[in-house]
Amino acid sequence: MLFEANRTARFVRIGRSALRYSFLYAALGFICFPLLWMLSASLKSTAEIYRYPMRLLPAKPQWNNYVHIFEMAPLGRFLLNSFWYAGVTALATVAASSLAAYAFARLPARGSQVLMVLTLATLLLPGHATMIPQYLLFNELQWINSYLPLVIPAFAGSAYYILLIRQFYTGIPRELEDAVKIDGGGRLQIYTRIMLPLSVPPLVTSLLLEFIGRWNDLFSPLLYLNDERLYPVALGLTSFSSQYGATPWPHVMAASTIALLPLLLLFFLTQRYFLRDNPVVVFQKRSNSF
Amino acid sequence: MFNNNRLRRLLRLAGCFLVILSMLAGCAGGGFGAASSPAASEQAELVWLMSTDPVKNKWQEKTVAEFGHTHPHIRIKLLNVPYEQFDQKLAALIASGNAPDIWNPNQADSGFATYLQMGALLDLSPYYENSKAEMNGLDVKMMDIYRVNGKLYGVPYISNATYFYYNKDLFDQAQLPYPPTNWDDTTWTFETMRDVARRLTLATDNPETHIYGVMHELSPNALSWAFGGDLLPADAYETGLIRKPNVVTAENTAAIRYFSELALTDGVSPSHQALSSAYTLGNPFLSGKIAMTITGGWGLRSYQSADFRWGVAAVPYHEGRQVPLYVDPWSISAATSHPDEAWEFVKFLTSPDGGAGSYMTDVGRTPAESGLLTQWYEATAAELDMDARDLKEVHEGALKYGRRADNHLIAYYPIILDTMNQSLGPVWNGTTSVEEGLADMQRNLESLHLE
Amino acid sequence: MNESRKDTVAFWLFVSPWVCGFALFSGEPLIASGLLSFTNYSLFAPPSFAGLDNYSALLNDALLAKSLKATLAYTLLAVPFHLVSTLALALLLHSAVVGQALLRTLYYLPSLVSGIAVALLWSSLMDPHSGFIHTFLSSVLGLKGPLLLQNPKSVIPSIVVMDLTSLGSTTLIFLAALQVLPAELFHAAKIDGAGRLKTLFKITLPLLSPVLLFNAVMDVISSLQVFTPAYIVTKGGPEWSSYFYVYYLFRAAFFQFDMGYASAMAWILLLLTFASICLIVALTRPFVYYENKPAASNKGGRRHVV
Repeated sequence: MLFEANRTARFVRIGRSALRYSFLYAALGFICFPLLWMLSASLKSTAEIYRYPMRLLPAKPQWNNYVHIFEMAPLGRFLLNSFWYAGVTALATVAASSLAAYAFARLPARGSQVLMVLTLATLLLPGHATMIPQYLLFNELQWINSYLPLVIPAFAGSAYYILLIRQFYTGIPRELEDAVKIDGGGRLQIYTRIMLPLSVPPLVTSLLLEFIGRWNDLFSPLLYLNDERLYPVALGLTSFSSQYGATPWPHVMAASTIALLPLLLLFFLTQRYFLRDNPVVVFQKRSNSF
Repeated sequence: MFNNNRLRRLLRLAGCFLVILSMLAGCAGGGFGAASSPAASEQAELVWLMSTDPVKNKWQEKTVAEFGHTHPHIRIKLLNVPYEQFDQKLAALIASGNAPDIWNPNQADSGFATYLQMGALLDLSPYYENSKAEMNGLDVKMMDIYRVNGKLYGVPYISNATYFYYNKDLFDQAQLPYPPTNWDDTTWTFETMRDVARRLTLATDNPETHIYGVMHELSPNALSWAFGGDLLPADAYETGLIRKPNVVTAENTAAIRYFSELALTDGVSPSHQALSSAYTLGNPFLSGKIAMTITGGWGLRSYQSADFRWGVAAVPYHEGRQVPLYVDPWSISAATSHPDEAWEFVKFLTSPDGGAGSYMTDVGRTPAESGLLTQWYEATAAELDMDARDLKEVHEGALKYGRRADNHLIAYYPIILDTMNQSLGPVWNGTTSVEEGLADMQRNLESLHLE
Repeated sequence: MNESRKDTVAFWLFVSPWVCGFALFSGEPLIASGLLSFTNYSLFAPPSFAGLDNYSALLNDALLAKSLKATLAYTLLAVPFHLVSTLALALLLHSAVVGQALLRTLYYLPSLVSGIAVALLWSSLMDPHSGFIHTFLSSVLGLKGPLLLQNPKSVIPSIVVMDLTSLGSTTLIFLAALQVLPAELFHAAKIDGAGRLKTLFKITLPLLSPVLLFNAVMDVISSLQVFTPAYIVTKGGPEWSSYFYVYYLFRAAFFQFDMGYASAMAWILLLLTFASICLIVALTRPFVYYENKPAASNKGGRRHVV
C-alpha cells in the first residue's frame, strides 16, 4: 500500500511540475511574442515589411540592416550618451533615495509624516501638468539644451524609490540597530553597516529599474535637448522615422534591438545580487521578520 | 553573504567616476546651450525648425551650407523634432520665449490657423512688397492662401495636391482601361469608380490572395468636399473658428453614405478599422492588395518603393467636387530678434535657384513656384513612366479643383478632427446610420468650447 | 543631546538631498501648476487670472466624464490583473525550476523594450486585417478574429492585455521581496505538514503584504494616469472609449492651448488619486503585517501608511 501511495505521490508531483512548466513556457511565449516580432522585422527588407499578411520569419534575413543603421545615424554616439545619462542618474537617484528612505523608516521626527505625504503627492500629479512650468524654470536657469535639467534633479532621489526602499527598511529588525548603538555607533553607522548591506536586493532592483527607465526615456530628453549630438538612444531612434510612410521599419527595429542589448547585459550582470536561487537566511535571531 | 563590501566599493567608485563625468559633461552641455555668447561673433543666429526626416535633414544641411556661402553674416542653427512630438516641443519653446525663427506652421497637426490665432507669426507684407520683383514666380493664388486681412504670414514653397493613384498591374490583370487624367471627363464618376472597384475586387477567404478595389486617405471633411459638400461652415475657413456648424446636408450625407457603403455593403474596400490599424506598420496601398487609392501628392515619393507598377489619374467627377490642396509655407516667428535676416533666409528657401529647387529634386515634393513646375513634370513623369503632359493634366486639374486644406485654415484642428473621426466611427462600423452619425457630429461640434 | 533630538537632526540630514531637490526643482512647478489652474494660459501669452472658471467648466464637460469613465474602467480591470499576474509569476520564478536564470531573464526581457515600441508592436499584432493574431486564428483555427482595438467594448481589455509585456518591474520587486523572506518559517511550516496553498495564504502572502500594498498603490497611481496606449495606438478611440483622462489633459494643454484647464484637470486627478489611496490603505489595514505585528496593533497611524 505504501508503495502504491508513493507512486501516486510521484505522479502527482510530475503532473504538477508539468503543469507549472507548461504554464511558464506558454506565458513566456505570449509575453515575448512582440519581441520576436521586432527581431524578425529587423531582419526583413523594406518591401517585405509591407507584405501582407505578415509572416513571422523573414524570407531572406537581411543581416546588413544592422550595419546600415550605424551609417544612417550616429547610433554609437547615441548609445554612449544614453549610457552615461542612465548610469549617473540611476546611481544618484538610488543613493539619495535610500538615504531618505532610511530617515522615513527609522528616524522619528516632527514633520516626517507631512513630508511623507508630500513625497507621495509628487507621484500623483500627471507629468504633463508640470512640464511647462518645469521647462520655464530650467529656461530661467539657462540649462536648456543640456543634460543638466535631466541629471541634477536626480541627485535628490525619487519618491517611487524612497517609498519602495522604505518598505524594505521597515522590515529590518530593530535589534540589529541596537547592536550597533551599543557598540557606540551613530545613525550613519547604522545606515552603512546594517541598512545598506541588508537591502542589496531592493537597491540593485531600484538601480536596474531606474537605469532602464532613463534609457528608454523619450519625452524629457526630447524637451530639453535641441542638439542632435546630445541625443540619447531613445530619442535618436526617432531620427529614423519619417512622416509619410517612408519609415525604414526594418532599420528602426534593428536599431531598437541594438538599443536593447546593453540593458540585457546589465540585467545579466546584476541578476545575482537580487535574484538568488534559494531564499537567504538573513536574520538569525528572530524567527519571523519582515 | 553578498560580497557586499566589494560590491559597495565598486559601486562607490563607479558612482564617483560617473558623478565627475556628469559634472564635466553637464558644464560642457550647458555651454552648447541657450545663451549664445554675444560678443563672440558679428553673426546673427537664426533657428530653423523642421521635423525629423532622414531625407529632409540631408537637404537641410546642404541648404544651410549653400546659404552660408552667400550670407556669411547669418548663421542658421538646425532644430529638428520628431513629427509626433512637434507641436508639443514647439509649444514649450514658444512658452519659454525661445520660439524658432523660421518654421513651417503646417508641419504638424496644429496648423497655420492655430499659430496665426495665437499671434505667433510675423507679418511679412512689408518685406514681400520690397522683394516682389525677385519673387515673381510664386503664384498669386497660392500667396493669397497665407494672406489674412491684407497681411501676409507665410511664403509657399510646396504645393501638394490630391491625386487618384492606381495599381497598373491589377488593372492589367483585370483587363480594364486605366482611369483618365482629365479632371473634366464626366464619364469617370464615383459610380463608375465603384463599378471598376467591383471588378477589381477578388474576395477570397485567404488573406494572401484577397484583393480590394479601392481605399482612401481622406479626412472626413475631404470626403464631403469630393461630393460638393462641406462638414464645416464657410466662415470657419476665414476666421479659423467654428461658430455655427451645419453638418447634416444632402451632399454630406451622400458622401459619407457612399464611402461607408464601399466597405460595408459593396465589399470593395477594407473596413475602416482594418485600414486604420494597418497604418501602424506602413502603407496598405504598398502591399499591392488594394487597386486604387485617393491621397495627397506625397504618395509620388512614398510609393516609389512599390514592387508593382502604378500611375496617377484624376479623382472621379462629381458636381461641385473639390480636393484638398496642401500648400506649405515658410513663416517667421513674431518674436524673432532678427526679422531682416530671417527674411533673407525665407527668400532663399523659396527661390527656384535656392532652397525650393533643391527641395524639389532632393526631397521630391511638388514645388509651388511656377518655373520649377515644368522641371518637376518632366522629372516625375519620367520616374512614373508616363507622359509629362498627362502628369501636367493631372496636377493642373488638382490645382483647378483644389481647395486649401482645412487643417491649415481651421484653428484647433486636431480637436475638430478628433471629434469628426469619433462621431463617424460607428458609421464606418455599420452600427449607426449615416444620418445619426452626422447628427451626432453636429451635436459634438456645437458642444466644443474652443476660443 | 538626547536620543529624540539626535533622531530629529539625523532625520533632516538624511532627507536633505530630497528636500533640497524638492524645494529647488519639484516644488515650484507643482505650485505653479496649481496656480495655473485658476488662470487662462495659452502658452503664447502670459497667464491671465480666471478664478474658478476652469473648475466650473470641468463640472459641465461631457468629454471629461467620458474620459474619467474610461480611466476608471481601465484601472479597475488593470490593477487586479497586474497584481495577480506579477505575483503568480514571481512565485513561479522563485521556486526551483529548471532553467530558472534563463527564464527570469526572458520574462523580464520584454519590459526592457520602450513602452512606445511595445505599443506599436501590439497594435500591429492585433490588427484585424493583417495582424498576426487574426491571421493565425483564421488560417489555423478557421475562426474570424474579433475586433480587438476597434470595438469600443473590447478596447480596454485589449489594452490591459498589452500591459503584459511591461510587468517585468513589478515582478522584479516581488521577487526581491521573496528573497528576504526567512527560510525557517517555511521549514517550520513544512514540518508541521502545511500544504502548498496553506503556506501561500498563511505565510507567504501575509509576509509579502507590505510589498503587495506598495505595488497595489503604485499601480493604482500609474493606472489612473494611463496615457501611452491612447497616445500611440488608439488615439482615444473608438468613440472616445479609450480617451483616457491624462490623454484628454494632454490634448487640452497642447492642442487646445488651454493650459489652465489642463492644470485644473491635473489637480482634480491628484485629489482623486489621493482619496483612492487613502481608501485602499484604510480598507487593507487589517491585512497588512509589519514586523510580524498585526497591522491593527501598529503604533501610530500615518507612519506605516504605505
